[in-house]
Amino acid sequence: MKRIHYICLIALIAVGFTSCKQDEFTDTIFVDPVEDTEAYTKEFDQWLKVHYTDKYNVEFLYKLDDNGTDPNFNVVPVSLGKADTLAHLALYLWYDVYDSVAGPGFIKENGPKIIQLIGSAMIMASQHTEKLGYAEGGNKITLLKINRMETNNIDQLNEYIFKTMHHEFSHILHQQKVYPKEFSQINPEDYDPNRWQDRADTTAWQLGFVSPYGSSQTREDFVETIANYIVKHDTAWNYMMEKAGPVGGPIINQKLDMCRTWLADKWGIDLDAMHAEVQKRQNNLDWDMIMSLGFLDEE
Amino acid sequence: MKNSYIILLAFALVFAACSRDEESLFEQSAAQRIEYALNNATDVLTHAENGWEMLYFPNPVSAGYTVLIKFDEHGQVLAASRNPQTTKNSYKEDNKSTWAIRADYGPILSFDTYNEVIHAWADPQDDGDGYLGDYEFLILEATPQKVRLKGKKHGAYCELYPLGKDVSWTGYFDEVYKLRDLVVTKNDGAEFNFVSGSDTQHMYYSGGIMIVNIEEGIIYPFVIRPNVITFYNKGMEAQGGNAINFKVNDTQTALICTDSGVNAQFVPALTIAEILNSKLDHRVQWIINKTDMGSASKTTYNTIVNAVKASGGSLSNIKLQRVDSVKIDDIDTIDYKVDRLNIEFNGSNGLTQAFFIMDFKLNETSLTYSYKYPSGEPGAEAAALEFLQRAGGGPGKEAIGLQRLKELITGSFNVTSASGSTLNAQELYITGTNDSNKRLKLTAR
Repeated sequence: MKRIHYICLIALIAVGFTSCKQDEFTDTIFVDPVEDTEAYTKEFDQWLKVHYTDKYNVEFLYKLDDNGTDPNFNVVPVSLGKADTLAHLALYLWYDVYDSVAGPGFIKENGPKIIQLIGSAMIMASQHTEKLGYAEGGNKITLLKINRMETNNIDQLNEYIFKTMHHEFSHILHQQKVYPKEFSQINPEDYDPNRWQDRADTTAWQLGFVSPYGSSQTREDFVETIANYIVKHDTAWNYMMEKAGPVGGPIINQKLDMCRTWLADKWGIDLDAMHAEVQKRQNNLDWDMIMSLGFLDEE
Repeated sequence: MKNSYIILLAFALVFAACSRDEESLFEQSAAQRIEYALNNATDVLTHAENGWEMLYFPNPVSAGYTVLIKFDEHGQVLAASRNPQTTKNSYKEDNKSTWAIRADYGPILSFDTYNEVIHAWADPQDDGDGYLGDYEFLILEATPQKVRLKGKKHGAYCELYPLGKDVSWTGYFDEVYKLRDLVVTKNDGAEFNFVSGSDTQHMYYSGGIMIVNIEEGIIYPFVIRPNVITFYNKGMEAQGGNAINFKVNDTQTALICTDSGVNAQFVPALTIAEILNSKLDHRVQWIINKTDMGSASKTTYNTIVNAVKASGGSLSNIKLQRVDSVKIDDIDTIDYKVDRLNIEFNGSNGLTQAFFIMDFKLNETSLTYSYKYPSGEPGAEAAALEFLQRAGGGPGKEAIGLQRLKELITGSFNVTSASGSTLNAQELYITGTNDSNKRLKLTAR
């Protein structure tokens, strides 16, 4: 009887094991994408690879994926023509500026790793404001409203785009090395995170802020001071200081000094040299030269 | 006994070690199936030789529009449209943008760089919403005969049909506009009966949708295509199935459902005389055509024109209109409507408008139009007097002028559609009940 038990047992075990077959796995379940050598944007993509990815380690996202945007806002992609123009301009008026002032390698190491372009602004209709740019996670800068960019208006480009880039990049920098806490103690009572948009430029200046948005909170004040100083013409800066008057003017200067020292000590960047370099490039702006930096599709 | 436990344990181990193979519902892995869906969608979209006719409903509660669209295999897309909303009725096309098929919750069709035609409905504009359209779409269905898309963010609904090889893109929109003019142009407020078997439902047209009851949200958006009107999604329930596609019948008196086995049609709920009245209510003006007149009307009209000319002026237009007016007395403010004639003429103060208050009485198929008095608006009475004097042959002859004006425009008239179409009567004849030579053609403006 026992013998039969064992035979049964062995038979069953055999069945058990044979029913178990080994699955064969392929190397990957994913299928390799096939590169389209005649892709419509091939030339632009190659240009971006050379001038952004290889040189500055930046992914320049101009084809929009809605997953990469804030779901609370309705946005549309950037047009190819504007993306192309901006890519060239940003190289000349932004990337190469850091390259020449902070030295080669600085941006590659510290700069944003992703630049994302969006055609429209993020509109907060109830507050009558719109967002023109934001930085995320210390490595991604999103620039908005690019479809409305007027390429023949350098002041507008500075105000809406390059100032935004300096602003967001300064956020990235202070997220790595904190700014002096004394900065937040200069005029803390004047920050108003909810109603800054109701302040006129002059009101903000007289309170000691370079812009109304700078008066929303300390960290915005800090990066606004840097960004405005870099891009503003001397005449525009002096006009602001004059209007800021005897109270606001010295406060702005005190803040500017802190920014200057912080950038020099922590990052080895000469803020005045940045300002001068941007001014020089703006004054010598030559579209043919900029666009000859590489590919240009007809707009 | 102990042995038995060991044997049982051994069984358990042997069988547990061997996980039973789940019989897969699908032959391929999820990744392979997605890959297939992506490739299939790409194949289908790029193989329409002359592109696709896309029916685009930005959202379930507003009018649909057509877009013609061609997908290039290297990622370029050409799109064209012509509509009142985003192209201001002119043909517009844009081929400087890209498209892509991506995997997300399923295969997604993305228009990932800006196209003036496609993104016009998704652009947030100044209020942050715009038309609340989409630029990324879930692909619900993709076959060479039909593609269906659903907007990922706002649910815009699209159906795509391959466009015939020889169809010209601009010609396509000319056809759309022919039908648009025939059925909807300046036809807001037009009332229809939706008839299916013995059931009749009253609807009215407004801004690209048929409305049963706007408060309860019973509305049926549609899109106008060449010779066909197609309703959103499943259309209306009717005898024999869902009524989705309609065409205009030969006599232009009804919209007939073309879906097989479905018995349904839209017929005008109003007579032509009632349409004349209804359009006035919707602030449409009726202009008297200067050339197409009955012989008696022509004689009267020419007498007026010549008299005005002899006085050194000129007659531009005579319009029938209805306007809002407000009466204020000690107790109430009363809003009411006023029928009036608006006569534009060149007089001593240049182009001048003279207003005359009229009485508008409607029977089912006829109209009685009579003169009441000059409008009391500031300056209007002086202008009315000046016009009547010019039309009568000079100062002091205003009574003759008024007599001529009454002869031209007042009386009892039968009202008929000039084109024969009763769907959207843009041109009417009003013909004297007792004198068929007293006939005016009125054009909606």
